Order: sequence, then C-alpha cells, then structure tokens
Amino acid sequence: MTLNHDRFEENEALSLIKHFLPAQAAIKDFVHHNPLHALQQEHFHDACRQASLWLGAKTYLSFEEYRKLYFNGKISKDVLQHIVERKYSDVAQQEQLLFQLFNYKDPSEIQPNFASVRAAIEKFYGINLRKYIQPRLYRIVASYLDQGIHLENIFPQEMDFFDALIFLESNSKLSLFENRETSKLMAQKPSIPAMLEKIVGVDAHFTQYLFEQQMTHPGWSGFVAVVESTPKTLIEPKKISLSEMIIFELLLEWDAISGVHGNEFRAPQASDLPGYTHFLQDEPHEKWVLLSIWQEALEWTYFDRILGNLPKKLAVESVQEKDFQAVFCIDDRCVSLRKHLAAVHPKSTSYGTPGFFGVEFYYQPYGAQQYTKSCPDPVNPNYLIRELGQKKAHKRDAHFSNYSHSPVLGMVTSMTLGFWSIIKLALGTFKPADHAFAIRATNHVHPNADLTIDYTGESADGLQIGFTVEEMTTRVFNVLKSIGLTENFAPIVYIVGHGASSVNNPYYAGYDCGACCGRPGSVNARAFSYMANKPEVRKALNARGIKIPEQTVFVAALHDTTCDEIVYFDKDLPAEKRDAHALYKTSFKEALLRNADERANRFDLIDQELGAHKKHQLLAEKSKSLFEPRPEWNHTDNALCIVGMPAVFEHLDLDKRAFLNSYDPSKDPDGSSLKMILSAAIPVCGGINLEYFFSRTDQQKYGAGTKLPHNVLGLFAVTNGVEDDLRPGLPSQMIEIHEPSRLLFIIEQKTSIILEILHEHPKLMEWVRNQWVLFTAIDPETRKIYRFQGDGFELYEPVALHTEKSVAL
Amino acid sequence: MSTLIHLIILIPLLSFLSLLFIPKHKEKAIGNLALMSLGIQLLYALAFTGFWLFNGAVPINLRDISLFEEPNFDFYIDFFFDRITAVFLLTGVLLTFVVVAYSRLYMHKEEGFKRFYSTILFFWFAYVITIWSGNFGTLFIGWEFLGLSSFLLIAFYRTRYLPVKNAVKVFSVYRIGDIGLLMTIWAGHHLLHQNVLFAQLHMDLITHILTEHAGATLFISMMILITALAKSAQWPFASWLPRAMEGPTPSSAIFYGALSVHLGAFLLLRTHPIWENHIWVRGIISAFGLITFIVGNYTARVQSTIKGKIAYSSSAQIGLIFTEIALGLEVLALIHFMGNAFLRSYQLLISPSVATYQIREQFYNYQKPVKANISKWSTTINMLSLKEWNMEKMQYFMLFNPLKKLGKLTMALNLWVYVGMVFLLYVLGFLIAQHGFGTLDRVIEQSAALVLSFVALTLVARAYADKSNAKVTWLLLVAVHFVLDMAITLNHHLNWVETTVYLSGIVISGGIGFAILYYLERKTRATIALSRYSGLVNKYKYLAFAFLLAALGLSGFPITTTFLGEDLLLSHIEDSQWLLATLVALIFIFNGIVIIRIYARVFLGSQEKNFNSPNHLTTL
Repeated sequence: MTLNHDRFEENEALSLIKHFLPAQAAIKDFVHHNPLHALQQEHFHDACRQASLWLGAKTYLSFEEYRKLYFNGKISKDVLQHIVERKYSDVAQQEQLLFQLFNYKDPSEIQPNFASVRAAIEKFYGINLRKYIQPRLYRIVASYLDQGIHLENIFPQEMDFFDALIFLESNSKLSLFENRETSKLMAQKPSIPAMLEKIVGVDAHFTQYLFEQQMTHPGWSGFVAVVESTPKTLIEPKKISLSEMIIFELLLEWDAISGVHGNEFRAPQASDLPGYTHFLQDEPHEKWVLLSIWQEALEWTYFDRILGNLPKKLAVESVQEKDFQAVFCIDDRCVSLRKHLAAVHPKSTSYGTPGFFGVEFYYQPYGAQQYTKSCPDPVNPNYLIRELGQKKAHKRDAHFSNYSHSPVLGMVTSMTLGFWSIIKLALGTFKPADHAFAIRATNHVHPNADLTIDYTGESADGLQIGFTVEEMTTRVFNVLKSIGLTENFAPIVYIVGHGASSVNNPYYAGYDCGACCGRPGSVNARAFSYMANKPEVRKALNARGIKIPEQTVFVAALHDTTCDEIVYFDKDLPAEKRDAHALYKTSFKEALLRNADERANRFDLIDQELGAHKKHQLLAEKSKSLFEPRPEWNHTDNALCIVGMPAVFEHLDLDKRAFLNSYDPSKDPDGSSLKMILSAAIPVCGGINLEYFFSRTDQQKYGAGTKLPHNVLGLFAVTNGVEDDLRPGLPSQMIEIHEPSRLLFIIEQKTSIILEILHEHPKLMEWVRNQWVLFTAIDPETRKIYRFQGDGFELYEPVALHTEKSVAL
Repeated sequence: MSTLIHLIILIPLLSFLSLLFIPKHKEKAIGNLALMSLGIQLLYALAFTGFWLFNGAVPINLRDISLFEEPNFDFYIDFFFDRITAVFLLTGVLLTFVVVAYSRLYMHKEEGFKRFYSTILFFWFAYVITIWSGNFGTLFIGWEFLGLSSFLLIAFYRTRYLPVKNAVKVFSVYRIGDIGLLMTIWAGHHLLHQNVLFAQLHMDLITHILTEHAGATLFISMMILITALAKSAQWPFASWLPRAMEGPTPSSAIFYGALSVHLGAFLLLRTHPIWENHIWVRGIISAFGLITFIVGNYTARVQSTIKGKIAYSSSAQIGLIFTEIALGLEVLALIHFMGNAFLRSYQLLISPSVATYQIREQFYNYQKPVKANISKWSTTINMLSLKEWNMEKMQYFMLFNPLKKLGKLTMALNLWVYVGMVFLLYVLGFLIAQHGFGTLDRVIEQSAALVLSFVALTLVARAYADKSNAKVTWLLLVAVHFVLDMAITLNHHLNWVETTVYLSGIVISGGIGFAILYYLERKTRATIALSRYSGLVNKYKYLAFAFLLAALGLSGFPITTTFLGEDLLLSHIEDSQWLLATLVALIFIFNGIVIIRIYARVFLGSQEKNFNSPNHLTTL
C-alpha cells in the first residue's frame, strides 16, 4: 500500500483514510468490529506490523509481558519449542531464535515510522497547528452533532454541516475564525485540493498530509465518517461528511497560518520539504518475527491443551427422554451456565445458537418514537415488531433535568434539590438501590406486553410489521436444523436470550447480546418461541421434515448475565405444564447460583470464602452500584468458538473462554447449516475477539483507556475532559484481565465440507486464510484433528500428547 | 478547648501521614484508613459543632505557635471557628467522607490508587486548615496546599498530555490568587501594623482604620476579590473549571463540583467585615458575581459535554453566591453554598448515566425541533458562549503574552552575555549594600531596588521563553531569588538573619532540583529540553517526587523557610512603593508558574508517542 501518487486523487485518499478510522457508531449501538479492518486483506502478523508502522499502534503485548507469561507458566515451554522447530529445521538457528526471544531488546518505542509531512509543514510555518485547531474544531463539530447535552442548538435544524457553518458565519456578528479573510474563503466553499494547494503546496504530499491530519483525531474523524455512512446511528438526524469536516479543518489551518504570516503567505515548494518522499519504511524484521512467535506460543499453549483433551472416541449416546431442552446464545457467558444446568438437571440438554435466534427485525417498545435493531449488525431487517399496551413507567430523576442548568431555577434547585442529592448520594454509596437511570436487561420488554409477531398486512416506514407463516417457518426451521434439534423434542423447550444490567455506565450497550446489536435478546426469544408454538408453523415444519410433538411447548426467557437471574415469559404456558415448569425453574435457579459462585472468582474484591448465596448477592449488587466500573467481565478471555455436538466439549473445562454453537454434522451432509453458522459466527465472534485483542494490546489507540475520568459527549460518545478527541474502543475496565488471543474455531465436520464453504465465500476465506481467526476441524468419524494452514487443512498432533509420549518412551 | 481544636487539625494530618506508610498494593488498607479517618472526623465535627452551639455559638479564636518572630514581624498560626467555619466544615467532611467511601470500589485496580487517596487526604488537610484559619498567614498555608492538591489530581493521569497541560493551567490561575493573598497580607501589614486576626475584624479599632483609609481598603478588597475570583472560577477565570475535569470522576466531583471551587466564597465571607462599609467594593463584587452568573449560564447552554455543562452551571451559581455575600445575605449564601455543593457533586458522580437516561428519554419522547427563526443576536450570543466569552484568550492576553514578549526580548541576547550582565548588576548591588548604606540617598537605593527587581522579572521571563535546557531554566529561576533578595536588601536594609531565612530554602531546593536534573541528563544521555513533555515519571518515580518537593520549595511553598521569607520580603516594602510591590508580586506569580511547568514538562506528559500527543510544543 502506498500513499505516494503523482496526482492527488481526492476520493481515493478519503476512502483510504476512512478505512483506517475506527468504525464505532454512537454509544447506544455497540457493535464490536476488528479495529484493524483496514488491513484485513493482509495476513494477521503482517497487518499487526503494518498497523504499528502506519499508526504507531501496539498490536502485540510487550516482550516483558510475554516473558512474564512464560515464567508464570501461561506460555508452555514445549509449545514454544514446537513453534521454533517448525520455523527452522537447523538447530543452530533454533537456538539463536530462542536466545533472541528471551534477550531481544526493543530498540525503540513503537511510533509511526515515517517522515511526517505534517511536522515538516508545521516547521515550515513555525506553528503548532494541532494546538490551535483541535479545541476549535472539536467544539464546533461537537456542537453540530450534539444530541441533547446542550440546551441550545446553535446551528439551524436539518442543515448540512458546511451550509450550517456558512449560515452561522453570516448570521452572527462574530466569526468562527480569527481572520475575517478565512470566512470569505469559506463562503466560496473551497475544495480539498484547493485548500491543500494553499497550505501544503506540493501535490505529491497531499494524501499523506491528510492522512496524518485525520489521524491526529481518529475518534472524531471516525465518528463523522460513521454518521456519514449510517446517519441512523443518531436519533436527531445530522448531515455531515468527512470531507466537509476536512475542509473546515483546512480552513482553520489557513486561519492559523494567515494569522501569523498574513493573507498572502507562500505555500512550501518541494525544495522546502526535503526528504519526504517515502511514506512507509519497513523495519528490520526480527522484532516482528519474535513478537509473532511469542503471540502464537501464548495462543497455542491454551489451544493445545484444549485440543489434546478432546475426546478420542464418542460414546454412543442412548436416546434418553429429556425433561426439557434449553436453547442459549453462543455467548461465552452462557457456556458456564449451560455446564451447571447439565450438572444440576442431568435430564436436560442445552443448545447454542446466535442469540437473535434467527429472527431479524427492528423492535419498537410501547410508547417509543424510535426503532432499535435486534439482530447482528450487518443484517438489515425488513421487519418490525412492536410492543403493545404495557406502558413501562420510567422513573424520572430531577438531577438530569435542565432546570438545574437554567439561571433562576438553577438557584432554586440547588437550594432545594441539593439537600436531597446528598441523601441520595449517601444512600447510593452505602446501600446500592434502584436508580431511575439504571439499565435493567429485564426492562427491554414488559413481561405481559403483547408483540406484533403476526403479519396482518400492515407496514410502517417501509418495514413489514410481523412475519407471515411462511417467513416464520423458514426461520424456525433454519435454527432448529442448524443446532441439530430436529427430533426427540422434550415437553418444554426454553429459548433463553441474554442481556446485562448496570448503572452509571456509558458502555452499557457493550454488555448486551452482540448478536442483537447490543440489546437484550428477550424480544427475539419471545418471537422465536411464539413462532415455534404457532400451530400453522408446526404444520409447515412437519412438511419440511421437522415434527414437533403437540405436547411440546417453547418458553422464552431472558438471562441477566450481570445478576445471574432469569425471567420467564410464561404467561401463556398451558396449565398442565405449570408444575413441571416450576420444578425446572428451581433447577435453573440452582444452576444460576453455581454460575455466580464460579463467576465470583474473577473479582478480586469478593471474598472467595463466602457462600454461594452471598456471592450471588454481591454480584447482583454490582449491577446497581453507582461506583462499580466493572459490572461484569463480559467477553474477557474469549479464545474459542466450538461448533459441534455437546459430546465434543462437555468434558472440557472451558472457563468461560468459548463461544459454543451447537451443530450436528450428521444432519448436515451438504454443509448448508454450517455455512449459515459460520457466516454469522466468524464476523460476530471474530469482531468481538479482535476488538478485545487490540483494545488490550493498545489501550490508548484502540482501547478507550480507563473509564474513570470519562465524560459523555453529545449523547453519542465519550471523551476525556472537555477538549479531547473521542475515545472509541473498549475501556480498560472491560479488558484489563483479558489474555489476548485470536479466536480458535473447532468445527466438528469433514474438512472437505468446510473447505467448500470457505471457497464459496471469499469474505469468510479472508478471515481464515489470513489467520484473523484460526481454524481447526475434527473429523466426525476418525476424530482426527486438522488445522488450517496456508491454503488447506493439515493433520494436527497436540504437542502436549507428543511430549507425554516421548517421556513415556 | 485548644486540645479539641488541635485534634481537628491533627487527625487529617496524621491520617495523611500514616497513609504514606501503607504499601501501594494494599488497596483495602488504604481505603479503610481513609474511610475510618473521615468517619471519625465526621462524628467529631458533628459533636464539636453541637457542643459549640450548646455553649452559645460564640466564635472561638485560638492563637497558636509562632513560626518566625522579629520585633516588627510575627508569623504565627491562628485558628478561628464561627458559623461560617461550621457550615464549611460539616459540608466538607460529609462530602469527603462519602466520596472516600465511593472511591474505594470505583478506584479499584486503577494505577495510582494510593496516589489518589493520599492526594485526597492531603486536600482534606489543606481544606481544614483553610476554613479554620484565624489569620491571613494561616489561611495562606492552607490555600497553597489546596492549589497543590488540585494540580496533582487534575494531572492524575500524568502521562497523558491534556490532563497535564490543564493542571498547569489551573495551577497558573490559582497562582494569581495566591499572590492576591500575599498582597493582602502586605497591605494589611502596613495598614494595621499587625498580623490581623479574623476575630478582630469586627472590633471598632479596626473598623475605624478601615474607614479612614478608603484607598488602602479598596486595594486590599480588590486583592481579596482577585483571589476569590480565581479560586471560585469566576469571570474572567471561569474557563479553567471545565478543563479541570480531567481526573477520575469522584475527584472532579469533590473538588470542582463542591469544595475547592466554593472557597472563593468562603474567603469573601471571612473577610466581609473588611469591605462591608465600602459600597463600591460591594458593588464591584456583585458586578463580578452577576457577570459570571450571566456568562456561566449562557456558556452552560452550549456545552456538549456533561461535565462541562455542570461546571459552568456551578460557576454561575457561585457568581450568585458572590452577589448574595456582597449584599450581606450571609445565611442565604451559606445555604446556597451547601445546596450547590451537594447538587453539583452528585450530578458529576452520576454524569456517566446521562447517556442511559437521556438516550432513553430521547428514544421515547423525541420530537423534531420546530424550525425557529434564529435571530442574529441570539446566534451571536451563542457563538460567544461557544467561545466561552473569550475568557481563555483574555487570560492569555493578560498573563502570558506580556511575559512572553519580555522573554523574547531577553532572548535577543546570548545566554552568557545576558547572565553576565545580570551578574554585574548583582555585584554592583552587593557593593552598594556592603559599602553604600547610609551614605547614599534613599531615592537612589530605592531606584536600585526597582532596577534589580525588574532584572529579576526579566530572569523569569527568560526562563519562560528559553525552552532549550531544563537545567539552565532552573538555574535562572534560582538566580531570580538572589537578585530579588538583593533588591529588597537595598530597599530596606534586610539583615543577615532575614536573608538567611529567605535564601536557605532557595539554596537547598535549588540545589536538590539542579542535582536531579543533572543526574537525569547523565542517565538519559540527552539534554532535557522543555519544548516537549519527557514523561520521566514513569522511570524515575522517586526522583520525580523529590523534584516536585524541590520545585515547591523554590516557589516559596510552605515547606521551607523561603515561605516565611517571602512574607518577610514583602514586609520590607513600604506602603508607598506600589511599583516595587507589583513587580515582586509578578515575579512570585510567574516564578511559580515557570517552576511547575518545568516539573510538568520534565516528568509528566506524554510518553506514548503518537499522533495525538504533540511532542513539540512550538506555540503560536
């Protein structure tokens, strides 16, 4: 990739810049994505190196950290040795490599490794442009995009950003700029190249200049680019584009320069900017090789143990009558609950599938003006489900009222409400309680509210309200087939969505179901259960080969992962099932208790000697506590995605590190279900995994840093202080104990079928071939393990077994 | 009684000191110590106030030790308790107690957990001294400590660029306030010929003098007002308040939402008897309060960040409190203070929730705003508010531009030429002092003093402008004090004891600071320039702390005798020498600013080199 062109191509430059910007939407829509998406066409390790060179980002842990992990036993000696041996066959080279792994000294701090054109320009003019521009730029763009922090919108409604600026300039006695000439210049709506001509002068440097300029505030530029492409992320519509912002920024630069050098200043010529001809210089390779080996050793130490413990043979399972079956989200947080459920209630089976349960739609809660997407982000649903009739009484809190910020009422409020504040604060500090501003997963949909799941011929805003029987059947069929639940239905099948609860947490959406676009999965669970219970749907399913017994009932539920509580949407449950349901609920309750008990050991401040009930209570309190920056650990430590039969993973200690997608290879000989699973699991789980990965390796560039000083800006982002860049990415309180590891897929299916799917879908193949996710397959018959390397699968012998054997010999 | 009062001062100090001995990974012990200490103090404050009320609520004055005594000069500690102290004490202890409890979990695992708590406890100690002070000298000690704790908490994330930049900024504004206080002490000394006690301000004798000398009283009042304006984020200083919101949210809540920011109002309440009979002063105070009220409210309306909005709303309400005080509505002002402190600190603590609360509101109740006709005037006022009424520019214009210009002038000379000239002047001064006393005309002596203090000011300016080498800048700042000492010696025949008091602290802290810089240059094998943030605190934690102490010593902080020396120096300027007094005050202000800037640039700031953090700070 290169930025050196003889001629400046505006569109090309803009699309290149947009590629490198963080693609995070407003905070209410939390969608995980690969922070290095710009480099996804490269191999993982190459991309890591390039990101470092281009952006000065840290894409690996430091040498010290890896070595510490090694000495703590988190990186196994055998695995490291194995990787080194695979790298070089020559023993001397191996020894040299091993020596370097432990002794290499990083010569430099990581920083963008190219001669900075912008620095040269600043030097040429003798001005610190950033210092001058950033507060001015941020202030204006923030004010334009603000969704409701400010009390007064200074811009006219529904006007395009640049037009609004021009309007402001002409409609005010003050100028946005220091120099009146700049405002005349702005009125002419200059183009980007025209402005660059004035400031940078040398055509060949334009692209790099813009790139560097925008990377000084990736948060703002990235958000503007997101609003440009998906305006829906803001409730109050705004029309802004990255190029408009760039022009404004260039105008501010012109303003700064002309303030010092006068209106007729001279732009630099090529001779003024010597030596700025190479954008990208590759560094010596050694450091990157060493880092990649350390990273792989860390990953494979864990993977190898898991793969080594996979069952060699599967016991023939006797078909046993089950009391109930439960379908969960593939989310890593559901895995341990499923494990405990199996232990508590052996006559139950659980399944995993992406938590939107194959039903994609927009959801409109009762009384709401807006819709919210309830399916994976890349999907654009054509359906709308409305909540009917049950008004949720939202408690109000005067502390957020604008009165306290108005002159006279502000005085009255502070002299009255102020004394209530201290009581609230003292109560909130010493006894966590419900707050009007808390987020509860269970509030997403009222338990007694009806939903418009049936299509009755209505539509709104181009969306069909509800689904036809045919559409329902397809969705239910696809999910049941993909998880292999096509026969032996138990009397009750629970469909368990999940969500999270927290308070005082701007990242609340990041804790909910990733497959539901950062919302709780309760409506999806209810929609799916409703469809699967509908007699017409069952009839149609029967025709397609899935026979659900009449006595089987689907019951929706929602698992609050923060509090470890489940609510059931069981008001329509037939009377004869109620007793059994009550009994199973106690099993769930016990499983939740054990889950909480297990989960508590990741929190330093919970005394591990306490009883399970107490721990459960302490965890639940975290969701109500004003001062809890870590309501739960979310996807911390995620590293695996297993697609297969329960027998594959039942005996493994997954320690909440795995996404589990149920899949029966024997029922999917053509791989059509697997294709569906992978096309959701790879981008969704891979996105989560890589966002955690890079937020952990670089807290400042890809992560949001510590959230304790964060300041909510315009209701769409967080920032530090009042004049800083936006902070996309995950805060350190989400990822600090995360062990960065790529996601290893373990798929129970023949390699030929997997390969066929990958070849059919170049997008998926890109993830796998470039090792953004790692792939292994277990042959359903021979139980042999194959690992995807280069272009295809090769046999994998777990190193641990290998060495044990050699010891035995 | 005196033991009871001593305890109230001692407990915060002791808990701060004992906290320093707890290892930093023992979060629980640290949190518990702070919580227990504040809990005891809460109960104690309640009991003490109850006891005091029961006994008739008579103001208490307690004269304490003298720190330095001379026939004409006595610097002593004095404590004073009345209903103003009571209200500030109870509000403060309650809020600090809650915030300390709140932060135990909130700050868990944060790098700098212990630093956070020790700074909070240090702040609390300073706060207690301030509100209990019975004379300006004691108040000044507390005031300086408060400024330091603010600096440390704003720069809590000390390797990031903006927190450090803003901490220096707030420190600079505070510095103006400190010097206002110093000038108050100076003028008060000459006017009243004694170190006046707050308890005596009501006495007839004092009231009489104050009414007699309207001019001097006006000066004192204005100095007090400047101090209060700076501390309470009033116009034209208000813009520092939102920028101070860089630390963890609880520290912002307690400092800039509640306690620290209301201390300007405290100062006005405390000094009320000085200016209450001067209608002009009351008018001016009200005017500043009302201007802040208007500016703050308009500015809050266009803030896009929640903390910025709360900051300006709070500052506007404090403007109103100022006006109330000026109107003599003391009780109303006290109630307003409590309410505003509680409200804003809670609003700040729950500010992250604005995302959930308001987004939900918007989701349910969003209505497209009606297209309004925007008038030219409302746009203009909005624009002005968005630019924060140009307060930033104004401060820059008043403070840094003149200094910078002076610095640029001195930069025209080669460093050695310049230093040589200063040295010659110093020697000349020395010779005069040695041989000339009594033989020369007073006018000549006083002119020489003026010239030398101007030279000292150019030294500060040079130190401000010359960013090429931290060591050189440091030495220039040390030299400032010597030149200044010589100037005052010429002016008023400073004796050896006094000179020793003043310069011993300078020599010690100057020496330590220089040694540290020298050592660091040897270690890092590079010149430490001040044109960038070097962020050395990551590698040299203890040296950074030692350097901070040295820097504080050099800027006359109450940890060395220089602190007393500053006061002494001022007492040797006669009340007719306004120009000299102003020069000395300016030197003290800028000297402190440049010193803290050295600390910030050498030890703090960005270590991560990326696009976001400008390393080279060539300014416009």
